[in-house]
Amino acid sequence: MRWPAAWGPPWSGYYDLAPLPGLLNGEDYVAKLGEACPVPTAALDGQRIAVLTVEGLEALFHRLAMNSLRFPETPMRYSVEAARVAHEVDLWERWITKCGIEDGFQEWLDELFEGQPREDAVGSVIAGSQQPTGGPRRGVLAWNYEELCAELDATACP
Amino acid sequence: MSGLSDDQLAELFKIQRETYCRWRLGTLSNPRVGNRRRLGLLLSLLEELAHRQVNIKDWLLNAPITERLTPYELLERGRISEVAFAAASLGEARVARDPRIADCTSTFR
Repeated sequence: MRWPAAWGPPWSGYYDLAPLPGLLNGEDYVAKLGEACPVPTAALDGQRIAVLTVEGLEALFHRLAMNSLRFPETPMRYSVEAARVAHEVDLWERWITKCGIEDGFQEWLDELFEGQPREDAVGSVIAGSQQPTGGPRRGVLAWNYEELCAELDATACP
Repeated sequence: MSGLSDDQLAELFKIQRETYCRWRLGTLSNPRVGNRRRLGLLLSLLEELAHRQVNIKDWLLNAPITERLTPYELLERGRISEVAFAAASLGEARVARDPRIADCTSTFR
């Protein structure tokens, strides 16, 4: 829907709305958060008009918290969580592109992370220098996205 | 800002101390993409901690938050989500308990 007149940065107030400036044909819209809900993927075929960036996800988390709790801060927690969610979606898409099916992806995320490789004095990766951290890949999505991409590319499809 | 040594910071990025020193001095300005992104995440975390009433170095090295691991040890393992979650609860004022609620609680024991 169109947004309230005379509303602009820093988008204070109207916390039940998420601003979407320039969404369609350069015109400004808002999303009514009270009407947002999960839908089957198939329902979005041909209907997608935009996706959120990591910064957009962070802003969305802030508005949801303000709308529900009137919590005024934008803590670092939101940016790490936005990165985690965005990286999981990116890896999921990478998995489907590679394997053609979603099966096995969540199980792969729950497997142990092989570790971040070390770099030598000139910044080149030292092959085989990874040390497993003992935790699952899911736990390092925000910090080790690039290493997870490499592990996914080297993983055989189910 | 963190109070950590070059050795300790280099370990978070899995690089050599000399490499970290070159980053800091600006003589090596091309970290790999992953480490550029990690630098941004770590800076955001440290900025968040700086706004809270906490000795950053002491908290990172000496305050176990899960599985007896300190925030620094979690960062070494790439588990920044858990560190960010713990950091978000630092320095908050305790919520004063309403005595009427305390009375109700005792009534139902």
